[in-house]
Amino acid sequence: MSAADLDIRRYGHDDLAQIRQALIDVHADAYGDAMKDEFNQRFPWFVDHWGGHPDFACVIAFDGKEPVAFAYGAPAKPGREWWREHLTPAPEKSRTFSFSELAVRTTWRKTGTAERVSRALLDGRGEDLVVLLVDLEHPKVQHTYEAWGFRQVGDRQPFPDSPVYAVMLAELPLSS
Amino acid sequence: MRRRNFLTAASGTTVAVAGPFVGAPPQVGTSDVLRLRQGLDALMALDDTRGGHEGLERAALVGASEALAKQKLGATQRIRLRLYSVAADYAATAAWSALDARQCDRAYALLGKALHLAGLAQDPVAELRIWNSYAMLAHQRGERTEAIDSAQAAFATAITKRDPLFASLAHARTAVSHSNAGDRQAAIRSLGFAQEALNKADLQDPRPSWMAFYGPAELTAMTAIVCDRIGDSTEAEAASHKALGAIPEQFRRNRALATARLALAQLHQRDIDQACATASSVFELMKGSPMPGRMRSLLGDYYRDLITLAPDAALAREWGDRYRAEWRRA
Repeated sequence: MSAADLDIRRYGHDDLAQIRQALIDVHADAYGDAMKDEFNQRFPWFVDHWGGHPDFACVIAFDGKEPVAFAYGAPAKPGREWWREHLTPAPEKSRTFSFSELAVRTTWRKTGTAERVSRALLDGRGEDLVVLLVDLEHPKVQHTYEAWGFRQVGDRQPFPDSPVYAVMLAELPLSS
Repeated sequence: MRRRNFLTAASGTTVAVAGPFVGAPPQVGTSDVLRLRQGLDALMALDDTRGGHEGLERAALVGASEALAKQKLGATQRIRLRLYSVAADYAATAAWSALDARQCDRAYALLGKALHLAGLAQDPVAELRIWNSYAMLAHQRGERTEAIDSAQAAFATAITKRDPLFASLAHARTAVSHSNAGDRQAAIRSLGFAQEALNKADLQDPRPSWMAFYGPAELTAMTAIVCDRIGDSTEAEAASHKALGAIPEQFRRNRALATARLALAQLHQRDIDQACATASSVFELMKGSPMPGRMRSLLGDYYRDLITLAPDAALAREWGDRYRAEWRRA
């Protein structure tokens, strides 16, 4: 089975209770051993935080009944975008979507699933820009995003216990 | 000083000759063990102010190898046991440093090594120390039952029968582990045992330097953790204040941790302005030193709870904006 055969479904803020556990399970599988890290164990807080946004947008890919990947985010608050402190002058068209999280079950790695759910999340969005954060210690992931049109504009450590992330920005729609 | 130089020089020149001869007189003695112990005390002082970091872990591992290298120089069995014991303490210090820095995998591997050495040393004090660390590590790794079992393994070491202060620490760790697992009754019961044992302990008895942190002040600090976790934030705040009044100045890292816990307890009572001021003072206390991982976790939890609980989102954002540069890793 390839990524193209996956069943893609969309969810919003009102669906949080229904999808919460699926997100937590896929994330735990995707992170594997890295779940021993306390910061990664805090993921449920992030699900509730992002899911609590009234314009929360989430895409889950299913293999039959099994959720195998997800991507989610929400519109950034104007003036508070992750790229804001790194770009002067700010881009003229600056409505931004914050692409908060992406996870793919280990058995579905390297099948194009990450790109499929990411594009499903971002296609057709009304914002001008999309911003995301990648752990600076994962340059391969950073290269993948670069291949989709993102470029690093700075770095940021949003929480005292989080990794330092590269702030990566792209214009919407993503180039294909 | 001259005498020590003489000793080192002498053993340095004689090793090559003495090594191959069976029954050669021992070249390692009590003075070597004492010197290694002093090195360990210096590392513990560094840990008390700065917390776990790579330099401390490296230095501790060097100490462990040095102690083990001495074994090869032909020592009596009594000295061999003491060398294993000091090597176990060095390895446990390296493990502790990794644990405090939140390097779980390294901490796990080093604790295994330390426990092996403690077994060879037949040293129940080192064993208790290592099981106490295992309990903390299991919590970091999200293994709640293993954390309880590790704390109980610490209690099962022989030293708890001989010295109630160690029994008290093991009970206090058990209490924290129960509170993390959400077992309120068991947590409160273990805290009671910890206090009882502490009352019986003679605080003046000589003990290894790693144990210097534990006494009435630290039990109060651990009580604050338990109370906060089981939802008694008023008691948690009172205990944190009391702990801060009692933890000696030189334990800067533990004072900063207790301060962060006070901030959490205040936040959980919705005393948000006070909580933010308290949390800010953690950065003041740790100024000039990189922040160890466990403290980062605690402040991360603080900031997340602040985002969740602050009635005005701008307030949480402002606090984050103000301190983001300070918590930024080098």
